[in-house]
Amino acid sequence: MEEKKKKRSSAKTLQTAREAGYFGKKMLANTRMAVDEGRPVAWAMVEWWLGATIAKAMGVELVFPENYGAFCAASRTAEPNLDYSESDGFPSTLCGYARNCLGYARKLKENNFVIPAESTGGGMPKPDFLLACGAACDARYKWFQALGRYMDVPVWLLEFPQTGSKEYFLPGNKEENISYMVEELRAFVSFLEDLLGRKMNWDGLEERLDILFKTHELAYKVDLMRRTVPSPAVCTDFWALMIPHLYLPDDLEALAFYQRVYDEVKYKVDNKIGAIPNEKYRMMFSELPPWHTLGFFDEVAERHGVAFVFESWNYHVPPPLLEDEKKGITDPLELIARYSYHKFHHAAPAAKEYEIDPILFTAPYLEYVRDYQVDGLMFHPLMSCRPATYTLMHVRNLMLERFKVPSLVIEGDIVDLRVFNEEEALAKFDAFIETMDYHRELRKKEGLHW
Amino acid sequence: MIYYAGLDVGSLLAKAVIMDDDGILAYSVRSIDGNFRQAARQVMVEALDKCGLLSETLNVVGATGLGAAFVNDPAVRNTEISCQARGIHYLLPQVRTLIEIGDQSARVIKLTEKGMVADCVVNDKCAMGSGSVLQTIAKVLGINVTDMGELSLQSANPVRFSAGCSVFAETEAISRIAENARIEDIVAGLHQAMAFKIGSIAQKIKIESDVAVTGGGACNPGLVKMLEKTIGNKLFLPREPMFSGAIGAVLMALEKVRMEKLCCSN
Ligand code: SF4
Repeated sequence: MEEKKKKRSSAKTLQTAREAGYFGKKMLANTRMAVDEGRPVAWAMVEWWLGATIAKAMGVELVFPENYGAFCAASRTAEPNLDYSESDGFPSTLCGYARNCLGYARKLKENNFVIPAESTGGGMPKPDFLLACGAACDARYKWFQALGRYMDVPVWLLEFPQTGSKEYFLPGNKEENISYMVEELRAFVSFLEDLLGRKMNWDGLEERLDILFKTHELAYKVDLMRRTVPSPAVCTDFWALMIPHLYLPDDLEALAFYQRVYDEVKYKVDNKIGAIPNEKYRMMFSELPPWHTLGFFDEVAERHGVAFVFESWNYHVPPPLLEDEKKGITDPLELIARYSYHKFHHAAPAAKEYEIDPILFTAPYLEYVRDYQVDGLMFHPLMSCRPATYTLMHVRNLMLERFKVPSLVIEGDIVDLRVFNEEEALAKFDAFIETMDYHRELRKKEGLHW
Repeated sequence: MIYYAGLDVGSLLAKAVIMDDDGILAYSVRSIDGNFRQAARQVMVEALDKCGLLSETLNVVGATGLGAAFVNDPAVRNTEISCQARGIHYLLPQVRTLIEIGDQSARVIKLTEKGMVADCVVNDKCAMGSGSVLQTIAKVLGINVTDMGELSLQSANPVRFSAGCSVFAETEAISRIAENARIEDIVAGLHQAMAFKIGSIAQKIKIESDVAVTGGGACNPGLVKMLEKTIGNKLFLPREPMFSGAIGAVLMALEKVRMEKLCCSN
């Protein structure tokens, strides 16, 4: 039988999405250039814009090991790094990003901190410090601690309070958290000033924040336009487009780029052009994708007309801060704290309504299922990531009970392709189509509008 | 007369069924023995022989299973999950939950009243819930895998397997032998551990009665008994629990062919 050769990477449907990889390469190149020019460099976690903008305003070039992990996985070059970290004693159940990064750091160290020639994307240079963040998971605390020891560089950890859905509504709770975060940020500024021997550039920080909010506003509008039927963009577009808004939103080039993204998506909406030509089913994806096999999503689009209209909540920008909340704030650190806190808690009212905890990774999907007229959810439990996994079954049950929207569970990993069985995943998907058909009928009977 | 055939080419066994509009005419099953294509071809010939037919007389052939790609054209290929659902619906229409225990995986499928897949969970990462662990432990114990069911029914005191993992199960079985545990107690203990594993998958989709069991695991009365105890439901067994997939393959192929005809005539 003539088997069609499967593509591992996705073709993406938006022209801008095809171009977005440039920003990942730009970050890597900028850090290497900074080292050559004697400017400071740091490795930072995804920290939802809490500390990165501050560091950049102080002239630090940043690169993000999580993004580097995705890059290595997508180009199928992560395995040697994974093996190398495992041979150093890290278990295969540890976060794939962490293992890729630790394996890479060990190679870097053993090469006297000269980037090994074969490094993906030119590699990450030795940092002057590490910017860690306590949000989301436990692996992130230990990962950067270990990294600091490998490379003998200081680690600064920004705590990020994540409030339970009931606690969020306790009087004074939110404001206490914000004050705590502002204090954390002040301490971070002092740390940077000491380390770099220079003063904080407050005007520069405000300018950067202004650009960040403008970029994010465009990204948010793009998200809203994806509610249109047929959807003008799909998950594989988003996973490329997220690089500028997640890692470089305060960059003028990213802002200009996002204007183009907005224009391209708007054109498709205005002209009723779907991302995939025959959209039959609208799905959401939670949470972290199999970076090594994104072609899978092209395959299910082609086979079944499945458009993934929303995905990976954690990588999206939040709705803009309300004017009321911004009014009268003159301290940029407070604005940052409020915005990052808002990212993790904007769905608190939905969490309260559905009595669900934690707010992150759960409640947003319960909001979006109606807005995006979703027929089904694909869950991707990861053996190596608890935060993006332990909530999935709960969301799955709620979706089914409240909205008659079924879920498909396909196990895998973000980086480690050894635990993703594509054939089995496609077979499960084939059967899931009739499950979605059946639930469409059920929703109709129950008067649910989609 | 119009004849149909269904093939379910699994990792260990190839199964064929021949049907006409009145029902099932013949079944056949044979081992894969490392050659999917040959096993598929031969099992079909055997099934056709049983009802005195030639392959040219077949109007529609449906195929499913891991090795479906090796079935010669023109065969309509379909996913195992949907075929299992259609097959059990044909055999036992009152069934709303199906537990299929194959060599490589265990699946729990929830069915609509029309035999469609309403929900499904699959255990394909851990061998403890699938038939392959039986093969492994049978080898360790030096017994035939087909004798395990009856042996286990003789046990009054199943040993406890502490780890829900097939790799550890093998080591544990060896330790129990060294401790002079009775073979039937070891086998019953293994069935119990498998039943816990499969039961925990089944819980994820909230079982609805009636519940049936198919696949190789359904031919093991010891495992079926443990499973009934674990999930607290009576388990219905179709007369030929190995053939639900092949029957479903016929039915799904017919659905597809009829749909295509309908589209062409419109
Ligand atoms: S949240 Fe998951 S993927 Fe992200 S760092 Fe933690 S374990 Fe890794």
